[in-house]
Amino acid sequence: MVTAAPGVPTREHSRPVSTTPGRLRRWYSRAWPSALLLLAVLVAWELAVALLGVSEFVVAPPSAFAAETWNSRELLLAAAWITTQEILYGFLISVAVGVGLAVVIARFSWVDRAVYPLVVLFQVVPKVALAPIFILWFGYGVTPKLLLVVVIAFFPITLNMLVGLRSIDPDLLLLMKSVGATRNQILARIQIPTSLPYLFAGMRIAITLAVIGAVVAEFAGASDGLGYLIQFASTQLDTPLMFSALILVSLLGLVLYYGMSLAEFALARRFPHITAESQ
Amino acid sequence: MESGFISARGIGMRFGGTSTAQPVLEALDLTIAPGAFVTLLGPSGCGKSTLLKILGGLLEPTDGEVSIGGRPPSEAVDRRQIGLVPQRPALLPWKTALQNACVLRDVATGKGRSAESLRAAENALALVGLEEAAGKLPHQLSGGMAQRVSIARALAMDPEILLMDEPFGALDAITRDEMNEKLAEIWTQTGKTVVFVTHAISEAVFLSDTVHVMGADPGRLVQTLDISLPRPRTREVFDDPVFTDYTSRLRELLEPKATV
Ligand SMILES: Nc1ncnc2c1ncn2[C@@H]1O[C@H](COP(=O)(O)OP(=O)(O)OP(=O)(O)O)[C@@H](O)[C@H]1O
Ligand SMILES: [Mg+2]
Repeated sequence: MVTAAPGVPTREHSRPVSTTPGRLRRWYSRAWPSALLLLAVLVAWELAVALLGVSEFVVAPPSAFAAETWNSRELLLAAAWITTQEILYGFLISVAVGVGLAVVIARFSWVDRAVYPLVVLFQVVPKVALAPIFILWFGYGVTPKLLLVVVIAFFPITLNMLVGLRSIDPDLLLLMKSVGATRNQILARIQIPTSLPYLFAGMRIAITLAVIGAVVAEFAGASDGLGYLIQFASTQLDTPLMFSALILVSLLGLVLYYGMSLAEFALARRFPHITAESQ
Repeated sequence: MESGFISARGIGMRFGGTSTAQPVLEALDLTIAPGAFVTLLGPSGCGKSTLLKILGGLLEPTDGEVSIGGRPPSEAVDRRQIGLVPQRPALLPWKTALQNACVLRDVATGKGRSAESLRAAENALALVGLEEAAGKLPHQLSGGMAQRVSIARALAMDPEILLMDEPFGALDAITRDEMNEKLAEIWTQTGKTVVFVTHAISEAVFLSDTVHVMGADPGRLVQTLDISLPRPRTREVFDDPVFTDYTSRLRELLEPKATV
């Protein structure tokens, strides 16, 4: 259960750290084939809907939801902005909660013994099913959305950060002991910087979970946002609008995921071991 | 200077706490004079690292006691008298060579980075011949350079006692000879008490005033050999018949059956 996410660097840092322009160029060259394939799928989709005569209520052709996206752009953008805020604030709270919890668990063994098993146990609860309960308690406002995002997204952050905090080199620990370092000094100077690559691996997972959390919370009860729009469109049998909102949610997830990579690059100036192996 | 005096009496060590466990060290007595260069020589797994940690107050022995300058070793740790050089460099990958050389000193003094600590680290890097690599990150350093940063990190605190656990174990023979000469030079310049762990016989003879030969199962001192070669010692000493006499005696002590 306690496994580091893929892309977590090992302790050896012998490889040169690649520079941002080099990475971007490689990213472009890798993105091309996927972009072409996506385009081909869209064309095939358009043709299939036209040739097979499928009803627009079931599957809208790409041209229909492109038109719909343009016509409803104000509605869609307003909804996307609401959802973005829920995701971002929820994600930031998740990072604070996840990191805080991991640090406290790593620092105080009694917290480890008392709290950690409960945190793991809590993962058995299907958190999506909590959405109606949160709506019941907190109404249709923003609170239940943030709560659901945090409940879904904090765990991979805590878990990864904890693995990082505990992956301390025994020789470094001995060195710190040899100068009489305190637990807090070891935590601040060694454990937390060491755990940064693990933290980012956890944050990558968490950001996608945060999108799911926000949309599900909107399904369960909201008066705005992309999740609400999808549900509203389905009651109106407005399939193109549904697809437009769906694609917007996906794009949002993609942008946020790559935004994380940018944050990682920025921090890698000061802590080069972060990007030594990831991606 | 008298505080560099390390004395160990009746040291016994078992891991796991159970009295049935095979002891790693048993009834071991050791005295180290201030300013001496002393080597612990023994086969792999005989307890050299364990003994080194016990001597530095980093590990509590099951039996016996250690004193440094007549006080418990924990006080030596608090008064930052102990400079540790572990078997692997264990540098912080996000810090430059210079910053790495500051780390132990900064923690030991409990203050932030100061001009004084930077100067101490710079001097220490110069002492190991690495001033031009001060701005490099650990992944840009060769194995020998990283090991020298590790030594500089200990020297920057200006400790009275240097505990070195096979610091050159991972180096090739030529770099190792260079590092040995460098270390002998530093020891002559700084006059520190050095406890050096190795299983390389010629390295032990080249560097030491005294070689303690250890045996395994349980770890104990087999014999103590004083090396009375003149100093300063350079590479030429390897061909000295007195040197080869010491190395063959030590080889016999380490492999008593293989007397050809
Ligand atoms: N923390 C520990 N817990 C249990 N056993 C240990 C521990 N540390 C060392 N040992 C055991 O003590 C014995 C001596 O270990 P030590 O590391 O002191 O050997 P060494 O002489 O330094 O060996 P090497 O030359 O290979 O480094 C070994 O059998 C080892 O398995
Ligand atoms: Mg050892």
